[in-house]
Amino acid sequence: MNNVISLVDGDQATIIDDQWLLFNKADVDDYLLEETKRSLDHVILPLECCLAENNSLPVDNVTAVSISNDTEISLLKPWLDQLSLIVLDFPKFTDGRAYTQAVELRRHYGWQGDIRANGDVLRDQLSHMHRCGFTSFAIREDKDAHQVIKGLAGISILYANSTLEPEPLFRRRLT
Amino acid sequence: MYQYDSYDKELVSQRVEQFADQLQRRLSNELTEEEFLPLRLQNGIYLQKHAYMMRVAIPYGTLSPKQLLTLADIADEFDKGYGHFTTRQNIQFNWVELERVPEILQRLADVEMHAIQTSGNCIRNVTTEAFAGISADEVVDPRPMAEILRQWSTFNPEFLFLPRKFKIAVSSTTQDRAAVRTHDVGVYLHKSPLSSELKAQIMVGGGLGRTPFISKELKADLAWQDILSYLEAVLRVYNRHGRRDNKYKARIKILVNALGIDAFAEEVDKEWQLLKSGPAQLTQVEYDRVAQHFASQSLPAVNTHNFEQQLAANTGFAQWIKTNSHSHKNSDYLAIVISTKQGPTSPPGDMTSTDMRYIAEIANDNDFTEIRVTHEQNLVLPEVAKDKMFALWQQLSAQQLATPTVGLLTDMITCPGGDYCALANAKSIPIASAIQKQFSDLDYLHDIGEISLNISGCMNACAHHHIANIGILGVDKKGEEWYQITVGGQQGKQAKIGKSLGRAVEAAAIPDVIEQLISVYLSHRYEQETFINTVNRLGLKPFKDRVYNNVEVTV
Repeated sequence: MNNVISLVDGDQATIIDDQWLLFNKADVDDYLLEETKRSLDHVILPLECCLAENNSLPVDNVTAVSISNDTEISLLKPWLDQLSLIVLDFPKFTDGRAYTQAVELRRHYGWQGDIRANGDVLRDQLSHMHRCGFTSFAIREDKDAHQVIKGLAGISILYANSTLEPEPLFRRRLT
Repeated sequence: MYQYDSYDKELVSQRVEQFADQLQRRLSNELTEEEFLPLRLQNGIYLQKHAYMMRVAIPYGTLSPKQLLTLADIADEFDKGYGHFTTRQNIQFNWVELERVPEILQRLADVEMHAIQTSGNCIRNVTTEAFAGISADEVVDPRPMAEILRQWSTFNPEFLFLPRKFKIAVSSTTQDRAAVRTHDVGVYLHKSPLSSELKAQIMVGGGLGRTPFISKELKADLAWQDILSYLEAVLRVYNRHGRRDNKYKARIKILVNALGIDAFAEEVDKEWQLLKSGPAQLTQVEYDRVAQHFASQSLPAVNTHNFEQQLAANTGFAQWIKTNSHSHKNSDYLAIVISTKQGPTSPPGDMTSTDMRYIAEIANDNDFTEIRVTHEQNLVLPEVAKDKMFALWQQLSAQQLATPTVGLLTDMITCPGGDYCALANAKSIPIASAIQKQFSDLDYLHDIGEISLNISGCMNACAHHHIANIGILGVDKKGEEWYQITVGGQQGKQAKIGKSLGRAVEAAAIPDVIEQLISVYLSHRYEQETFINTVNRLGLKPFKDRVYNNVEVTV
């Protein structure tokens, strides 16, 4: 994927074009036709393709999935151990369901891999995503990631507990 | 009242910078209007008919005199010399230049105020009783919990892009003067009769607008320590499942009614089991830290002899005390309501900078530390000693701020309506003005007694017309402004949605229609019976017959 801001390696955010290939369902169908090089290295599969019955994909080797923002996180449960990347979708930046999905993955399932925001991913929402547990951000293609990265800073004070800081401010407040 | 510490100050100060930067990027076209819109809404900035409007948060309606003076300055320097108090106990400025918003935010930050989350699809300003902390009938002061909720909801990152706006109100009195049951979530604080532990009854799914609902009970006896984790669970279920395909069906009330309250409660409980007793659990230390800001001062005893004499001797004063005062738990004191509805020329909720300053100075001179905003769009001086009352009345009267009509027919709640609002179908302010003209006789108003009349310019119901005894709703009929009348709504613990009287009427007919409704009431009421009780006893028929068929009905 291109235009990605990543926090995966330490706290320092970096801008990368990485090797992950994000497949939609049609891509997967095309890919299946090319029997010879059926490897899932660096392929992000839509979860629905992994769940399909009579699957001819070597789903045991899948390491990255993408899900729509109305997917129940519990469907991911059997796969969590083998995954290293989960891509959550923001079809519009005003549709905030993926914030809750990230929180669930981190806090209810304790999942430690890379959670990537994809879609309408913009500067002014980056710090909120980060606080909910996202660790990489595939920035919308028309936006300059070098500008967008500034959005990670956000406002430094948050009262409530979050994925990033599980203790609410009232438990940390210096009096 | 709550005083900011270094964290609170840092937050609002960073917010000023953040918004200034966002605005700069909008002005340079780095941000499109579509991208900027939710950012400015989360800062209370709407584009209205003629200009930008800015809504400033007044958390649970509490202002210091210094803050009110700042609002007066803002009204003069950035607006046309007035502001509009809203039903969320906030204030709106109607003529703001977008480019100057960061300056306004800085002025606000300097006096510990902001405009965070006063609009947008996020958790809005938390409201509570305007008489909090002084009412004899309250179980506990609701403001510490309201402040704790304000902090928790501020920039809570998971809940900034909800399906729709989300409003929370807190009440702790037997009456409920905070319209709790028309909120997305309502919190009734109460004490367990056995242990006297503080508990919360959580209500969910109230709301007005196109599809009005009175909220339902979600949880009867939640321990106070669990409020944040429980509300987190409610919001998470809503964020996950609330509808996003149709903005008129996106409020939590629609989800609650689609699932049914039991299934919704089950979802919330499932989520809450994963959160309860976690780090969000409130501590006594935190509750006490916040509550000490609201601790009541010991009030000196007052000789009330002169007050009693003045009451007996001066009918104008007595009339004002009767309508515009509210009892204080210390009987030497009263809370005083200052109506913004001074007559046909003062739109409900509007206040000039001159009046704001006048009130702030009275507060300063008398060492009043705070001024409240009521959801009925009036101001309150919450703690006035009875021996100072007559002088206060004279001072307020000198500035036409002692209109003795609080709780009466002309104490209307009114939205800005078609004069300002881009959403409105019809104007509200001229209707309020016409009603003021028709009912200008004080004795008549006092004879009619307690009644609520609310006017909304469209279905969004900003003036809560559904829960007024008489509701007026502006509708569009082929480009013309018409008005639908509802009767029988009421607020409080037993809140009810009013019923439509019949076909819509023209603007010019409204004062007469109100007059007819009142005449039915006056001719059929029992002694001491209020308008709403007469309506509840008789039903709508005699009122309908009178208005639409001009039939006098004998019951």
